[in-house]
Formats: sequence, structure tokens, C-alpha cells
Amino acid sequence: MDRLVLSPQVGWGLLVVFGVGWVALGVYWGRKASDLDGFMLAGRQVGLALGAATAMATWVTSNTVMLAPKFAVQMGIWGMLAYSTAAFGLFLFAPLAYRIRRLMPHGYTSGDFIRLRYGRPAWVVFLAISLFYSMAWLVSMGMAGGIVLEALAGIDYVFGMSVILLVCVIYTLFGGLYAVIGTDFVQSVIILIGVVAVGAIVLTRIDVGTIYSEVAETQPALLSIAMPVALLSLFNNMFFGFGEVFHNNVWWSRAFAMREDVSHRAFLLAGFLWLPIPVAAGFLGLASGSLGINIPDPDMVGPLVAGHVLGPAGAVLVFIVVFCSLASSIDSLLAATSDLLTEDVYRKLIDPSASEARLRLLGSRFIVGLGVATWLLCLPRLGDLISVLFFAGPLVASTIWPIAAGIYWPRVSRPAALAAMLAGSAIGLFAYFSYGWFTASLISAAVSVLTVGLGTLLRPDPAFDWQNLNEARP
Amino acid sequence: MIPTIAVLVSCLGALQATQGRPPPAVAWATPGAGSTMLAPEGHAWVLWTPEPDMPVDAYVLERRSPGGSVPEIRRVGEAATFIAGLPEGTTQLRVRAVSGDAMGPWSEPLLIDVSYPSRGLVRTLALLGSLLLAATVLLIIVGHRGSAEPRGARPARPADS
Repeated sequence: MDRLVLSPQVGWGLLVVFGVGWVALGVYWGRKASDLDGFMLAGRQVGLALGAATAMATWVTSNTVMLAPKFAVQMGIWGMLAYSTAAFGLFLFAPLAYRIRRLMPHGYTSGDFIRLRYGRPAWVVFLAISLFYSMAWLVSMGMAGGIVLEALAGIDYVFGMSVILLVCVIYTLFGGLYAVIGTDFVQSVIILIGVVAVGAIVLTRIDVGTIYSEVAETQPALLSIAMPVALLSLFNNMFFGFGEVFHNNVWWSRAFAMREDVSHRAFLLAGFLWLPIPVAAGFLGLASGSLGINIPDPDMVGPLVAGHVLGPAGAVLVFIVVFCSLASSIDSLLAATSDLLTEDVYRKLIDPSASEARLRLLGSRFIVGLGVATWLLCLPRLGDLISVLFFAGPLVASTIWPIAAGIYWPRVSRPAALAAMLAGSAIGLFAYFSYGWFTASLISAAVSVLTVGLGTLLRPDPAFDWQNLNEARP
Repeated sequence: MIPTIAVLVSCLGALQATQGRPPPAVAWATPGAGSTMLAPEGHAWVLWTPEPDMPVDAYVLERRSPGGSVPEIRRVGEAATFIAGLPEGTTQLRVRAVSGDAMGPWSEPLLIDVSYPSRGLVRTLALLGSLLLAATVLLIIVGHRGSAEPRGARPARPADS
């Protein structure tokens, strides 16, 4: 009954080699991060290749590798496609990033935009949503790291999760966004090569026709276009993805860090590079039945099938891809969330006259604090991966229209934007508990659209002066 | 040395005690004996436990779909499984332990009740999702084309304090 595909010694060896490698590269690249702009935004001169690579690598999370196969097992073809709709968030954010970079050449965070555009009440609500979501994302990835290392190599959940978090905290701490973007580039190359290699090997060993016949015979609902939960999850996941990308400082910090002329192309390219990855990962989930693999834990379906099909050599590849996916997302979240705490919470709420040196020091402390908080929340291994992450779905979906309309429409009603986030979150959470997670983000986004649209139609604000977004540091 | 021998003797004793005995009975661990499991999304994660201290090589799982006359039977290595794509209605599961050539007794049946969201709700939400997607894409495309805002023509304004 032993399901391990790698010996713990090999697993630990890979963990140490890559952990030391990321820390060394992060420290090396981080030498440039001498001032606050360098630490938080990599000097605002990131080009197309690095920009696309960091956006793509950040979006390839452990959830992409582990939840996409789980979606496919649970909901079949639609589940696989539902996960891949998260790429649309990057596509639609591309024009937004271009506009953000033009309107806010000195901006630091997504919180800056909400504060300047809608005022303090909306800003406080937005910060609460964004910080909650960021922690949920961090915890889901920390948990995924522990689970996948345990499934593949028998490394104890707590040890594996702790090592991954520690490595990411160390190199983000020393190198800021320079280190994050530099390591993201290497990680994105490894992920792309790994996924292509795994996909090619799997296709040579699995007969797609057999998989289809087996699923059609034993689980016809998984191929049905009318499978209710799957159909709804398609839209729900799409709006969850929009909300995640539109609101989170991970993406805004990249928009601020990229050169203005490359930001939109970088996000488009990242979306196209990301799109096939969940499809390939989901395919592993669909294949589990025809391969006769029992799934004793749905969170482990991807690594289990990959290990079964590819054997130890392939499992090494999967291990490396997953480790890169985890690191590339955890480091980005640590950096971006620390920026939000430094810039929005400390500088704007507590000490507006804080020096750059003080803010730089605080940024480092927030990174350590976030790492410790994530570790503590991951320890009890609460709930399954979907429940941890999707609970935050309705909250972030409520921000889609306040952000998108606020970026383009000059007369968006401020009270309506605030009400949209509150009502969307509240009604979305009600739907989460009443109808299921697969309706929550969709309903939240719908409420938010109606509130912003009707509020602006009935009581439009005076035309907003876009120059108000061009705020200089004191 | 003496504790090692004592452990060996104890293990041999346990082995002799279990040899020749049929595989153990199996009880559902999740959701618990005698209860019905609700699966509104059409999938279920079920776990079971054999009697403690008894050897088990594998388990045989029998699944009977609603209205189905022939049950599906498969052998699994672990005391848990995840099943998906269940049809609407009540699916029955039974499990038994296997040790060598011997089979243990069937467990009590576990009833999995699948009740999908109503078609009306699904259609309404799918329509809503389509309209919402169209509106969001339209907002961004129209906004992007119409926003020829001159960049940084004016100096940055002072920060709020």
C-alpha cells in the first residue's frame, strides 16, 4: 500500500539543493535593492521577458498543479476548463496594467489606487479584503507544499511546509522584488520545460481514446455539458480569477515595476504561457480512472497520477516543478503583501513621515511576520485546499467592478463602489454557505456590477480628475 | 538485547494469533456508520477502518448506482477512496477487507445522496455569468480604446498626509 514515488532521501536532497539555490540567487539579485523603490518595485524598469516570466510564474501556483487535477476528477472536462479560465484574468488585466502605469507613475500598491479614487472608507474595506485573501492564498500554498512533499517523497507535512516557507522568506527578505522577479524568471523556465516534458511523456504512455471510453462508461456525468456544478464552476472560477488579479497587489506591484511600454504585452504573454498548464495538469486527473489508480485523498490526485505514470525519474521532475510553482507564488505574495502593510497600513495610517530607511526595515519585518503567521495557520492543516481558497472568492470578486470601472469611468459613484464591495462580499458569502462555493464569486460579482452600475447611473460623482492618482512620495 | 527479544516474541505471537483467521470486518469512518452522506456536487470522499491489529492486503469496494442492476466492483489498496461523476439519486457503497485469498464480511451499506442544484437555478446563474462576462469585457475594451489620457504631462501632486 506504499504510494511514495520518491525516497525521502531524494526528496530532502532536492529540497536542499533547490532551497539553497533560490536563497543564493535571491541574495545575489537582491544586491540592487538598496532603496525603497528597488526593494518594493525592482526599480520600475522591468522589461518584457522578465515581466512576462514573473507574471506567468506567479500565476502557476501549487494550486494550478494540484487543484486543476482535482477539478478534473471532480467535474471532468468542464472542471479542467474551469480552472484554465483563470488565464482570462491575466488577459483582461493587460489593458488595465497599461492604464495603471500611465495614471500612477509613482504608485506603490493597489491600496493607493482605491484610497485616491474612492476615499478612506472604501480603502479600509478593500485592505481588509485584500489582506484576508492574501493570507488565504499563502496558507493554501503552504498547505499544498506540505501535502505534495508528503505525497511524493514521504517528507513529513510540517517539515516540508516549514522548509518551503523558510526558503521563500529568506530570499524575499534579502532581495525584495528584485530577488522575486529574478528567481521567478528561472522558475518559469523550469516550470515550462517541466510541464512540456511531463506532458510529452504522459501522452506517450496513455491512450487518450482509452481514457475517454473509460470515463464515458463509468463516469458519464464527467463528460456531460450539462453537469450543473461544473457549468457553474466555469463562471465562478472565471470571476474569482478576475477578482484575484484585478485587486491583488501581487499584480499591481508588477504593473508598477514594469516599463510602461511592456506592461500590457507582458500580461498578455503571461496569460498565453499559463493557459496550457492547468489543462495538462487536469488531464492527469481525468486519466486516473482508466489507469486504475485509487484516489485516497483528492488533494493528492495530480502527484499520485504523475508518479504512477512517470515513475521515479518523472516524479523528480514533478517535484521540481511543484517546488518552483510554490516558491514563485509564495515569494510574490510575501513581497506584495508586505508592501501593502508597509505602504498602506504603516505609512498611511500610522506614520506618514516615516523615512525610506524606516519603511525598508519595516518591509523586511512584515515579510518575516507574514511567514510566521502563514506557518502557524498551516500547522493544523485545516480543511481541504478548495475550501481554504474559495472562501475568499466572493470577497475578491466584489472588487472587480469598483476597480475596472474606477480605472476607466470618471464619474463612478464613490458610495456605490464602497457598497458594491460590502454587498457583493456579504451576499457572495451567503451564496457560498447556501448554494455552494461554485456560485459564490459569480453572485458576488453580479451584485457588485449592479451596485456600481445603478449607483453611478442614479447618483454619479463629479468627473474625477485623473491627475489625483499621480501622487508623489512626501 | 532483552527488550529486542521481547518485541520479536510479541510480534511472532501476534502473527500466530492472526494466521488462519478471516479478514476483519470493516466499518465506515466517514461519514460514520448508519448515516447517509449528502453529495450535492456529485462526488464523495469516503474512508473506512478495519478492526485494529488485523492483517489486510486490500479492500473490495462495491458501488451500486441508482436504478443500476449490476454493481461496479473494484479493488483498492487504501482505506479511502474518492468517487466522482455520481448520478442524481442514491448510490450505495459496500466494502470488505481482503487478506490473501480470504474475504472479510461486507460492511453496512453507505448511502450517498446526490441532489444537484435545480436546473432553473443553474440556467439563471449561467445566463447571469454570460452577461456579466460580456459586460466586463466590454467595459475594458471600450475603456481601453477611449482612454487617451496624457501620461505624466503634469508634475505629481503632493501626497496626502
